[in-house]
Amino acid sequence: MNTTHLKRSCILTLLLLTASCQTMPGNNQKQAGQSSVSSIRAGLHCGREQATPAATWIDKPQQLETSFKKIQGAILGAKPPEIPKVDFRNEIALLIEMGQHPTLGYSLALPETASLDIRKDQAYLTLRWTSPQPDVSLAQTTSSPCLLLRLKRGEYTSIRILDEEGNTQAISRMGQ
Amino acid sequence: MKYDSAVQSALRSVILTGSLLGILAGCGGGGGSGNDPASQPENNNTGNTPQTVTLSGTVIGGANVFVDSDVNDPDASYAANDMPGQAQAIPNPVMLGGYLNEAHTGPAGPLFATGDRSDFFRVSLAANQNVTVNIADFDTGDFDLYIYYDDGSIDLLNPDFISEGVGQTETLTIPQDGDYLIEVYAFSGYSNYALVIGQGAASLSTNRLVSTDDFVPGEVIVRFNDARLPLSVARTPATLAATIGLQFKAGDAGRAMLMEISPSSGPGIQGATANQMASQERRFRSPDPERQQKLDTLRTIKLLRKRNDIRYAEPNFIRQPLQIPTDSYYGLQWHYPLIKLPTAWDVTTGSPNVIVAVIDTGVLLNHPDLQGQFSSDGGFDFIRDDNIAQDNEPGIDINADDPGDSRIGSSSFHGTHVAGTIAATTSFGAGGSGVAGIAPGVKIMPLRVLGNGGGTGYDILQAVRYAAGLSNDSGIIPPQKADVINLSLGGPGGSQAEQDAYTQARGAGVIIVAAAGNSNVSDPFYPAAYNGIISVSALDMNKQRAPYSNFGTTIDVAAPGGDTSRDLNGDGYPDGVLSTVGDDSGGNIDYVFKFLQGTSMASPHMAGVLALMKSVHGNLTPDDVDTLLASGQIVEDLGAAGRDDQFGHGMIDARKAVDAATALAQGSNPDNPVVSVSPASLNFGNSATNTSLSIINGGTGVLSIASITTSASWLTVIPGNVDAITQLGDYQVSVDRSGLAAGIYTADITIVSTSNTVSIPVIQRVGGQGSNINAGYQYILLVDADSGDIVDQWEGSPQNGEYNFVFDNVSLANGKSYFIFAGTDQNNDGFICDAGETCGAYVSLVQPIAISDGGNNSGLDFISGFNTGLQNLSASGADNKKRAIRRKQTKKIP
Repeated sequence: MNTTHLKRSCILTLLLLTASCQTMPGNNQKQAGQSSVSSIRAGLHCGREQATPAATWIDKPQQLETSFKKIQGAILGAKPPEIPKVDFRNEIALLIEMGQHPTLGYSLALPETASLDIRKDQAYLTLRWTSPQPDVSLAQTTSSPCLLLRLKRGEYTSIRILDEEGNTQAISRMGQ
Repeated sequence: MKYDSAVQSALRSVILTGSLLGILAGCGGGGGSGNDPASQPENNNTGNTPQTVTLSGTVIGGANVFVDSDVNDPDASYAANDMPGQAQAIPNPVMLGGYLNEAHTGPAGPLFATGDRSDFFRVSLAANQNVTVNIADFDTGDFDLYIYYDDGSIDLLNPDFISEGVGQTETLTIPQDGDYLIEVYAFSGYSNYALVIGQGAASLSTNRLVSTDDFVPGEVIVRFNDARLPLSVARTPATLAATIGLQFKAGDAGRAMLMEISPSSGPGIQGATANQMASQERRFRSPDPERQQKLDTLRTIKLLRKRNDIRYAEPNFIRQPLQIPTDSYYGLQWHYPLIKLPTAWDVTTGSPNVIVAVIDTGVLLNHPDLQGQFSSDGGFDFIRDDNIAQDNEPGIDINADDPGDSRIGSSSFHGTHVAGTIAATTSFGAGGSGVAGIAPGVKIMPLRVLGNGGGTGYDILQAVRYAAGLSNDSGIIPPQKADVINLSLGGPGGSQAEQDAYTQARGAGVIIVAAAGNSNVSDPFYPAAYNGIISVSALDMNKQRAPYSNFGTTIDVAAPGGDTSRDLNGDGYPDGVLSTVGDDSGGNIDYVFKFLQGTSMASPHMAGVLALMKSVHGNLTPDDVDTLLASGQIVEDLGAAGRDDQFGHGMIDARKAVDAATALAQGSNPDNPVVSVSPASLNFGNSATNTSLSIINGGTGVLSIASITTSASWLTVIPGNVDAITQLGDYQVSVDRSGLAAGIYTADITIVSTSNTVSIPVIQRVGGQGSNINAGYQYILLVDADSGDIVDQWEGSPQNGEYNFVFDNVSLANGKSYFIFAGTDQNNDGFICDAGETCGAYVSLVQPIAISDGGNNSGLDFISGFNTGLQNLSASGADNKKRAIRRKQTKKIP
């Protein structure tokens, strides 16, 4: 093989590699579509005692069951709901907890257009992070809102939870 | 004189170095009034003779202190008092230390072999005086108390003559003035004891059980100690019952069994009881059959408790019924018994004429556990902003139902939880379900002001006005206004406009209660901090302030708010407040029950109790409630005495609250000024001539003294430092014995005030039975303050009630210092100052002072007596046992 052919082959190989990198999901692309993120359950008294938020990566059925029961809390007088199904081959679950607050008026919600924004190996997810307005009267019961989500697996090993102002509220890492 | 702050450690050293003292105990020496020679001083290196001194002083028997004339100490003087004819004359008042034992029980000594079952005393007593025996070693001895007329007869129909309890205290109240015989009797075992007469109110042990208590005659609840049963005994109920001579009625082996005392029972305990009774039959068989049966029951229990194969034996108490709900989850509502609610339900469960307005998120009107609980007006929804309301009904409307405050299935249904605490339907008969409410008989007025994100001040005020029957934006005045408003809401900001609105609502007669806030701060929180509103802080299951609860100067009262981070009672559920809610997480609204925490949960407890109060006193006003809170009449005081910033005036007590409301309804003065005197009775003995009396207002409000009179010419009361208007303050009370014949004299001081009248009994004695002081055979110990060793010991009987001691050749060189202790050893166990024995120290037992170089060596006088009242001859004797000091054994035990 002469040198010129080698150079062309290398250049072609490089071009091909670059093109494939550009088209591989998870590399500075959005995992778009409603199916990439969906809400399983929301809760108001999810039991977190710390005031700081947290996000928990769930990729095992037993973890999911534990988290789901935690969201349900001790409710009496009703049949416990079924544990939701998550296909852990292709999906994970994510429990986001807002932290304990002294009153009602706090909530977490998944915006309708929510999606995972994946850059390198980190996913970004923006949630509606609601706190009460100042100068309103609030019910004096402590609350610990949370959201249990279903996410499609992808080329990410951590998820950064943002509020709608772009502030990082929590980070969850695979296996933690 | 140096005060040695290590006196306590010195005392402990004395106790703990018993083994070292055993060496000293071998030292001989005379008894009587002699003393043991002190150790010879050593020469110091310079060759000079170290300083030695003589220490001397007088131990004086405490006022009205006497000692049993036949105790187990071989060195004490002896005079038998075992029979009525040998009764020991004692004064009144008196605190007497004694010792009794069954034969072959207790420490070695002259009484060991023969026993000393009875001590008889002769004394003049006044009507209504208490005679009390406290058994010092209750774990080794069980004593009874009897009184007889002077001729030796006993009134067996009168419960005031026999005290045969199973506790550590026996007490009788004298029916009329006269001369009596008192017998302290050892039913079993051995112990020191204290006999107290005329020393004020006796402190009674809570472990007391007497025949006048309410229990089923002839029945005993028995639990065997299975590990102590012989293997040959079959573990069947009938067999076990037979081993103790009783008849099996119910229960089973391995747990408590109900048994009966029956003539047909076999041998064993019954036989022993019969023998026991036979020996006393002539004196102690009551003509009243039921009383006799109850006495037999107590005697059987006393005998059973002596057996080591019996874990416990108890009477079958007759309990009064309490209203206990049968609702399914009542057992998880720990917060109701905490505030004494079950006993309050015995009085009332609420009246349908009482309305409580719940100003909140609205209420789930279809919740099964709230059916039939709503006021006839149906409530109102005052939320103007549709984004807050989320009810698809623009603006304010008549629908107070709670649609939920979340769009994503995590609604709180907060108002439903609050309403359930106040008035969830509650069943006291069969077939209850759900949860219980505090005042299930009252009605809830649901007023919606909170929605998605909270609520506005304006909407809340409109709801308050509606509840108070004032004009409001709904255009509706309810046919019946609310009696109580609950506001489990708020924020940090307040305004005059809001204060005015609440003042107006209160002026309309509505009692308003609000949550204190959940930020764990002392800053004012509104509306709870407004004048005229009862602010409620939150408690956990241990009656501690909940970790989130606000506190501070605006807190009025505390109530259960829960702590869901814990499960202190181990029931498997978080320690929150359990009540009605909804659950919309599945898309529909399910009617369920949940544990929540917050001052939101505390406030409706107060509101519910207020509703109960209104149910028994329809005219109860907000001012009445404030007065009752401030005077402590409806709370259990927590934290610092009186009002404090953690708990306000205390934790609401539902039973006290309904009782106070009932009393008000019957005309008592809510302001409750009360004359309080100290001391409550006066005993001058045979020598005191005057003392001070304090008269104060022990309640709230205002009172003044109208008159103070005495019922005897020998008794006078003169004002000392008193207020010119109220006449409250300090008075001097004097007795004049001149011209009075020997004997006991009683009279009363009557204090009439503008509120109540108080009578103070007064006793004095003229002459008497010789000196009223005989502190027994005293051991006076000289104790090295550093080592705790007994350096020297003086012992002897009193001379005119005094013990003059001398310690020679005491070295004070090299900073040596010494304590001096004194006491009796009635049970002869080698320790002075046991429970029931006299005790003293220089300068006093409360503050012993070590004698050292440079101080006084003579005139080291102090008192040996029963230093504190009956209550310090404690339940277990433990407190006094810690004070016990080993003495030297100077003679061999006969």
